Amino acid sequence: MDAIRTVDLTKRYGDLVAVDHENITVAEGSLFALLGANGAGKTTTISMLTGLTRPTSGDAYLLGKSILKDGAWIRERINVAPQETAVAQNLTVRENLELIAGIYGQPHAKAVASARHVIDVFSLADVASRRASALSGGMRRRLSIAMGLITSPKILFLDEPTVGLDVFARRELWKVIASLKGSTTMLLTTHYLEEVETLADMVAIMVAGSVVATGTVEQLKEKTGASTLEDAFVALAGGAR
Amino acid sequence: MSARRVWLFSVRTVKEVLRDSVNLFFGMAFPALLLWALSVIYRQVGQMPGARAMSIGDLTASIAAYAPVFLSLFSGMLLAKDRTSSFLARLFVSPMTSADFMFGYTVPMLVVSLAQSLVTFLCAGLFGWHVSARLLLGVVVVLPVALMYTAIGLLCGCVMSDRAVGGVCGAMLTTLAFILSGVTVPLAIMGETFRRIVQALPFYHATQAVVAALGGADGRIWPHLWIVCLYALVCMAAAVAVFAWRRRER
Repeated sequence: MDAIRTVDLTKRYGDLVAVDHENITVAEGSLFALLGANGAGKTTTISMLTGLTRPTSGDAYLLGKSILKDGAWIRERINVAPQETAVAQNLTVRENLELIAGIYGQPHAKAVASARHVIDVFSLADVASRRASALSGGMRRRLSIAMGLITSPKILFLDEPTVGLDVFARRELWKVIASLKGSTTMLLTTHYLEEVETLADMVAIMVAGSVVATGTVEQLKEKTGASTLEDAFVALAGGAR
Repeated sequence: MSARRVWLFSVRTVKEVLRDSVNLFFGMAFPALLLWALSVIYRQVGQMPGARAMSIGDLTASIAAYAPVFLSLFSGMLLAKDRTSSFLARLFVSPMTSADFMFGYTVPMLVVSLAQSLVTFLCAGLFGWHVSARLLLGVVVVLPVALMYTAIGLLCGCVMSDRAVGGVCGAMLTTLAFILSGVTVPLAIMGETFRRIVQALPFYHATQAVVAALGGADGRIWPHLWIVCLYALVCMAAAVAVFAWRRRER
């Protein structure tokens, strides 16, 4: 079964078409990357799929359920690491994690155990009792991503997750993301093409709200005759700009 | 709505509010300080020939009715910060419903109000007020007042930045509530137009309801309290509607 399927998904803000009749399919357990310049419609796509923004027209199906009709069912099975750091500032790292786990229905004992596990995975043990407001920007970002993962979502939306992370933290996160493949479907937006080459099973390139190309990294390179993904991206996105 | 989610979010709200030292000062210490300062001033006024000082009982009731104004600041700032920091966007993706949010922001404010009233009444005992079981009725009568201020804060938090909430709730509302409560400027010396305005607003009625509750004039509670309840319901309905609309229209 496809984990995500969009059908002519469209979002307009007045005269501006942010996403235009988008049709993408994401296989269960795979990592799908959305690439595009700023304002291409990547974040708007995620906002619609996560229920934050209502589409102007079209629909999308997550795990077979409509985002227009089955929002409550879907929300229990997805999670997001937003583009901006999204944490409760006066709560500690552990409290933030337990709060999110609890909100998604984990009993207290399980939430505590999940928090302990995620703290280990994200190397947050040294700051687990520190308030989020006292963390460095990179640590806060890590916590924000950990809050997206603690609920073991069926679908995880990663909106530019590694912005603000140093190279070591980025590589660590890549390992975590790679380990989730197979069990968790992920939709990733990023400006780091190296990240896409390392992690993505499929890539869609968006320009001005439209998907102009879809395929594996190798297929996109073949299609454009480029030797690198960056050249392929420039050829596909630059030509259409 | 889920009771567990409301509980978890309420605990989070309490921690966010009480871990801020500025909130602690304005929520707990400031009403007690104000009570102390005014009780000293009115004691001096009482010694002046011909002057009529406010009794410590009425003063205590007035401060207890005024103190929840800071809840508007706490709830409004918290919601505005959540909204502008993406934390609320994260929770909008979660199973949290609009009802979970509104209860999760509101119930903790009522708990803070209970603590605030108890601190105010017990401090009043130190300043000469006769502590009695009537303070329990006072605590209950303050709750609709607290609900009203919380709703005003949430309404502001839905549509304003945290800085703007600080200005509107932290400066404007606190000043208006103090002046229009009829404590510092008695209704009797106001002009007709001003008196009508004061009587149409809830601040004076909040004070009078608590004065009646502590003073044993039970029959005078409801004629004032229903006006406060009406404002609380209207403000809360508006806050819920705007919150749901903002969530839908993101």
